[in-house]
Amino acid sequence: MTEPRAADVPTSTPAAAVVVTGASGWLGQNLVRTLVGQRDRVRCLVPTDDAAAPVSLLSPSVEVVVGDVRDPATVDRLFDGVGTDAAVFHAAAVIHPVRSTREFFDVNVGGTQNMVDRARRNGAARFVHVSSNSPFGINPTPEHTFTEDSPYNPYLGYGQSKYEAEQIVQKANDRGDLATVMVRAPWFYGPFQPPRQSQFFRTIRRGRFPLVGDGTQRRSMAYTDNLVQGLLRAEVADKAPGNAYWVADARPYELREILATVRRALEAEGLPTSGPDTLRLPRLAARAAERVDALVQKRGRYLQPLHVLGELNHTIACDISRARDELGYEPAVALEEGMRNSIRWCLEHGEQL
Amino acid sequence: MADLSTDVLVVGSGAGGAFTAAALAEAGRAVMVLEEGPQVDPDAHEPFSLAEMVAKYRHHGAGAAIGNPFIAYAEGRCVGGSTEINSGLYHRLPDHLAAEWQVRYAIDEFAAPALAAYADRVEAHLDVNTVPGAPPASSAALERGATKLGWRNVEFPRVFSYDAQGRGTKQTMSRTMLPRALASGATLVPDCRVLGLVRRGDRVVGARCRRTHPGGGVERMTVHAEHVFVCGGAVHSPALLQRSGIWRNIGNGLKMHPTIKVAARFPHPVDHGDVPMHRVTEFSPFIAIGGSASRKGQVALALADTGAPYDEAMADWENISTYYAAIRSEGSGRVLAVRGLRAPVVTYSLTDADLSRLARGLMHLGELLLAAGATELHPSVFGGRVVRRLDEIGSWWDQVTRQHSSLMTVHLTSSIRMGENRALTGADSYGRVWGYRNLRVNDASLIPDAPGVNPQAAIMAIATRNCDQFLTEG
Amino acid sequence: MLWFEREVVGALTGSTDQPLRSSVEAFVDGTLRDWPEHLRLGVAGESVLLGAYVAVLRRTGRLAPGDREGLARLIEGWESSPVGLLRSYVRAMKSLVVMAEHEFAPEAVG
Repeated sequence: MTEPRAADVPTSTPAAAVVVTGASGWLGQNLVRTLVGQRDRVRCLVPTDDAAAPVSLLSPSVEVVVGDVRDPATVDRLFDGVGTDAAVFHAAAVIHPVRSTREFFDVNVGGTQNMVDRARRNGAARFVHVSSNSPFGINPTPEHTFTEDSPYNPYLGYGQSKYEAEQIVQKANDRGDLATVMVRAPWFYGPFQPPRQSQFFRTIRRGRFPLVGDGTQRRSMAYTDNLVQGLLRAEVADKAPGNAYWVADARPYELREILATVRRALEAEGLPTSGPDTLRLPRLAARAAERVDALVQKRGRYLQPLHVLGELNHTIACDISRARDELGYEPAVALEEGMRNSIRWCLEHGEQL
Repeated sequence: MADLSTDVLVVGSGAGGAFTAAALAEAGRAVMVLEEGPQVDPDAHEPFSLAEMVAKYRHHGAGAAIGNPFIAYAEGRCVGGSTEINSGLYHRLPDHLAAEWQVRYAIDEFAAPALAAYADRVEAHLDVNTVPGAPPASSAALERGATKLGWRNVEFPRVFSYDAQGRGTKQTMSRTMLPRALASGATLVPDCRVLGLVRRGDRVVGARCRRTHPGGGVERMTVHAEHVFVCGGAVHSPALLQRSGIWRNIGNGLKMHPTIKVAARFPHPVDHGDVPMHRVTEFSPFIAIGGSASRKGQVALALADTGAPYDEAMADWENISTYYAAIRSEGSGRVLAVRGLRAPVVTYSLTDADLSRLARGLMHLGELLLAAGATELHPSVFGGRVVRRLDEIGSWWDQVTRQHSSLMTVHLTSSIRMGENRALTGADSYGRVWGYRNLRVNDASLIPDAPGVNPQAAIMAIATRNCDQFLTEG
Repeated sequence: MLWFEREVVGALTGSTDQPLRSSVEAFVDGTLRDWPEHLRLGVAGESVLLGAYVAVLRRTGRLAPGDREGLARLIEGWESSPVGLLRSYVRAMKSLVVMAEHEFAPEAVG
């Protein structure tokens, strides 16, 4: 992996001990795998005993704490004995709630407040917070691209919760005793994906993935390993504390390009595709889904397909220039390669695509 | 049937009404203040006692906003309004909120320096002080816990004056601005409920009232006025306008600070006569943590909330004090005057985010009190776990539900928002009701959103500002 | 105050001191009178329904006529009812009683 600009950016030494929340999640597993070779201690928070196994087996340097990030006593255990000057990667969050939309707030806001508080009390060297595009909603025009100066415009419950979490992280930094960096990641893809993501490949393979409108709406995506590199740069870059950065692949993709690329990647991995290249869906359908999603969420319910369909209509694109300049971030993997890696990972793990 | 007339009629004598009456009377205007509640000697009752609730509170302090869940609220109904019954905490409107509202509602002259100048003037009229000497034990606990956890906290000043012995007297409106108004020639009529305003075209020409005399006799009368200021608070100002046929953006968008409580047992006695003046600001602007009135009745009330037997704890009540976490709420409510009903229907709906914030507030509050040395925490949650150690506290997350939380509030605002953005406001930037030349609102209803702190300072500053503008307009 | 409301207050008041019990009852009565009419009406409606239910329980022998503790248990059980209005009813009545009972007791400030 080459990082041509990284050398230009002043950095500090990475922490010997790190704390990772959401360690058994999609991003978390990628991150922990990268960290285990580099650091003396990788303290991981996972929600259940079942989730602990795959993480704890990775390396003797991994120490797993099982528990709820909302619970202050659990977070105390997470930091117990880690020592000062640890780096914290806070990746635990609820994106698709199971019971009600309140989980967004309980976990994404409550968990973040706990983590920030304990990181400060334990003298953490840096707090890297995984945020999202959702506090910013959708781009105001199809040509628009988000920068770090774009105004907040939270999109429904998840966006609102991640917005509030950002406020908490920023406030913690501004009070002067915890250096925080927020990494805003859009839609990501890559190994260790949850089962819902295999569905994504299956529907594209069979030509059933809905392409809303003409498919020219742009989406920024982040290959998990690119994102991991961004998080690691955020930990060490001297200019980072107090800032937030968009971290994604090098450029946004048009939705039709994403679908075509995935079909190409599937073919290249020996999975012939069928059906039409795209299943066209009028924008009206997506708009209706969006409305219903908002209504349903107001009643505390959450229906994932509805939410995803509602979002597909829009351009959600960001500009990673500042991450390049200030973090020395350089995304090494582009769409087709990243998708092929993901597909291969699925096949290796017995997923039927 | 006596008909009276005045230049300026002020309806209500709380923070907004009293400041309005004093400012205008001192400027030489003829002012008459009508107050629905009685005149009560401010020294007659112990603060927060049942006797005080009966004498000075509306509905004996047992009002409730309908919703899921119901939210209990308390407001004053006496000469001086809620300033007679509150804790006297004084907190200027936070600058960032004023800036946000100025843009959102297009409020003229609402920049931080302008508001600060009015706050200065308010503070020159009242004594705004911190406690001389050591704070009471219930307040010191908040400071101790917060310091231990590294959480920001502050002793809020209060509108109290202190004598040489350190004895404090709350500077309520009946002790301060109302006597000033009267000294400048204003008239104050207690026990006089305004039933409706008399409209003529784009003017209000008077108010129809029902006055109860000390002997119990009831008299109906009309007060004619050139100018009317409605200052009945966030529930009763919109209700009066609605009863008078004025509805546009009146009574919707009610905001409050929903509050959840903990009764904390300490291994030592805590005071019960005063309300803690320390506040934990670590979680502002979303959550504020502080202490509540904790007389024996309030302690019992708080202990009873879990539904578990509490006789054993109650026997130790002198070691127990009650604390709260109050949130800024994303939800909102409505005030609706219904024909035939004296009291308006008040509703409030909490969002899921609000519920989560209340749960989080309860967690933070619990952790704080444990750090302060509390040995037992009783949450105001039915079926809620009585917590003795930090590792038990996580269970509160899932216990704080709409079904089981007992919530209350003492801050109600925003039912007639101010500003030039006519789609969102019921009154202009200075409280003049849209569509009426001589009808103004001057109280908590104007504050366009919940301020996250005790609103009385903001009410007083905004009322002073609006009076200035009224006087320059002539 | 309606007949059944008097029963509820009596059942929820722990003290056996007769003057104290009367003070509590008078306070609750005064508060209910001073309540917003729509809330008072709602509570009165529930009191009628619940009163009828309790009368049936007594008629059928499932609740002894003088059993104050049994009635208290029944009422407190409603606090965990899935019916929101029933929960609110008990909570409202209970909080008035609890507050008054302890405030009317001597040395309320301590």
